[in-house]
Amino acid sequence: MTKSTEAMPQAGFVEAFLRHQRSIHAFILQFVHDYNDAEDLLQRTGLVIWRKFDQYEPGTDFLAWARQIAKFEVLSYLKAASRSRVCFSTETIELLADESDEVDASESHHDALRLCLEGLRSTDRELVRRCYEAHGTIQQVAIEIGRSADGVYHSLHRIRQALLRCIDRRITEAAR
Amino acid sequence: MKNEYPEYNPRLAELIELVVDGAATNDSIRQLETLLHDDPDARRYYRRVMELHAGLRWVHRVPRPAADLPTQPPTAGISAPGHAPGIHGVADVGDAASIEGTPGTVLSSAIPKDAAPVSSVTFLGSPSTSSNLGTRLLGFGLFASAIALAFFFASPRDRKPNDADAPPPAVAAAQPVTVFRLDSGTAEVALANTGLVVIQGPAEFELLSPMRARLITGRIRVRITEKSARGFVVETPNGEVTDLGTEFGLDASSGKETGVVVFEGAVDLRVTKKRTAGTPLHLEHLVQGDGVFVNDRGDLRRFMSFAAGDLPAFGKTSAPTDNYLPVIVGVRDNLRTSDTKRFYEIVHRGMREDARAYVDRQEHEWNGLDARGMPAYLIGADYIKPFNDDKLRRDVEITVTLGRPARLFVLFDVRVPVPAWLSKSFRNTGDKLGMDNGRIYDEQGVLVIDSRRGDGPGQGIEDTVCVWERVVTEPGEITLGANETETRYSAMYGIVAAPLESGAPQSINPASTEGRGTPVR
Repeated sequence: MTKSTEAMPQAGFVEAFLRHQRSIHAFILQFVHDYNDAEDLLQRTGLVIWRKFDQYEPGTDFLAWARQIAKFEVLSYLKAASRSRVCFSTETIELLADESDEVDASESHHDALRLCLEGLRSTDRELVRRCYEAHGTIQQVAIEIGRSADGVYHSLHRIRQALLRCIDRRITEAAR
Repeated sequence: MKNEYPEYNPRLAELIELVVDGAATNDSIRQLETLLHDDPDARRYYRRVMELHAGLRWVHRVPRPAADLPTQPPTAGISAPGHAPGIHGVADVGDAASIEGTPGTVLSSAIPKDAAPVSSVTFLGSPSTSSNLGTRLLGFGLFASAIALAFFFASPRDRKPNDADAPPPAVAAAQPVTVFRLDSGTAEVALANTGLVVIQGPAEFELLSPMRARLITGRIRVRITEKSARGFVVETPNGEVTDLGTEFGLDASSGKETGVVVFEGAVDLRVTKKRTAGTPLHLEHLVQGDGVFVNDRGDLRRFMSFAAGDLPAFGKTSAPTDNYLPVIVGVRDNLRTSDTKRFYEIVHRGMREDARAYVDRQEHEWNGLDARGMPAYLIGADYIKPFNDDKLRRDVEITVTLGRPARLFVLFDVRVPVPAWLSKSFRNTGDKLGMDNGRIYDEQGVLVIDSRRGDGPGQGIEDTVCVWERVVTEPGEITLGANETETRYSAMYGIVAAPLESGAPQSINPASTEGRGTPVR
């Protein structure tokens, strides 16, 4: 085995990372728009956090610390991939990252999203599933379902707007 | 809130949509950057859309195992620990259905044209006995008119390879197979490009389409092995279960409610029937180690425990078989469904090197601390997989029901102070056991810690437990307490029980009634 339990407080890492990984994932997706790249970075970030976990000071904001690591991983990755990827500049990433504590990937937000997804018409829900689950292109999905790509783009835009409003409504109601 | 929605800046919304849809160009990204730099509201809106986008990605996320994960044969995940004989050796016969054993029936009526193609079907016989031939024959008689199958009555377990006296397995005519009815025994169905379904009779199971099936009655265990089949749906009498990359079990044997247990990964459970008008669809997200029963009204109650070991699928109870009288016949705790949905798994005769330790951890394994291996008295014993997430609970009480006199063992983490309930009623044998934590995954199946699992005793050991023993001379219930620790760097204790044979150690409290149903605490 690679590390002793005494040397590495593995259980603490697991708890913290599992609790916040969705937020870290959302943080990364702000800057890295390719699904597979974002997944790679989430995994890579997790490993870096694991290796550096002995530097984490218990009681401090784990997510803020993890985001810093994720940001460096993102910048490092995009620097290497900038010639082959359409991506933000370092300046934009720094700007967005500085305000990233406003990103809400909390349980309540996630629960609201799930409920709002359930509230969609079945055809809309199926379209979202196809587009997000397969990780193929919109054009591929359009061909599969016999629609134009523009029509699918338009539908997705409408569905996302409906979901944004629904999530706002549910979170507001829950806070009352 | 006017700046929360795209109406205030349609161009911004359009540019963000291009990003989200993967259609952004260098030019559109530069335009978007300009807008984001100039306007805090634009950044806020961008974050909100990306947060939604990330949420949708997460909900529909496809688990990605580590690139160098060993590829397991598809049957390995379905086989219960300590039980292999009936499961392995599935014949792949292409489009035909290979029928071995006899207890079931495959019907070919009412076949949807687009049902999932069946690669192979193997009847495994009853795990318990070969004496239920009458039942098998009855099943055959009931359905013989509907099918044209030949039967091979010898139990697959009893049959020797190349046995000249044994009749050859019969192969049904090549045809789509979509309805399975089993009177008893177990069948394994391999679905092309999808995965495996173990059907445990009595059961009725239908394939409706490539991505949809229906369990009418009985128990099944499903393992989705292909990424393209994520989202596979199984309808049950009380709801729909959608695979999210996983292995799960369904129990519709009671006729009143359906049990759902998640062995790996995650599923979504949707209650679909008999809802009151206006009541929203109920969605329950279940992850590895979760188990619930759901009824027609959508009420959930916890699936407290089930037995594996000799059962290829899983069983709700620990019934004796011809070959074995279980030592552990039940386990429950004092937690309510609102507190937890986790289940306990009883593994009969399953304790051995590399035995899986927890229901909510994929790779934690029990092992001997060094090359000498684990103590001989533990090998082949019944054991319980608890949930490691319980290690910090102080309110949990676990009640183990023993079906026969037993040596009851608690495998207790050496890092945790010994609680009074343990020191009072158990004795420390002085023996130690190791735990190999292996790789650790999150609920989505994504690798969190890449710590390779060792193979066999003394390999990959990270944690150490002491073996505590209590001799229980009468069948009954024993209640165990909590870890009673606040340290996260600890492991939930394990529970093992071996038959009390003659010559076994004397009970430390032989006159006590505690072994006959009174909790020790």
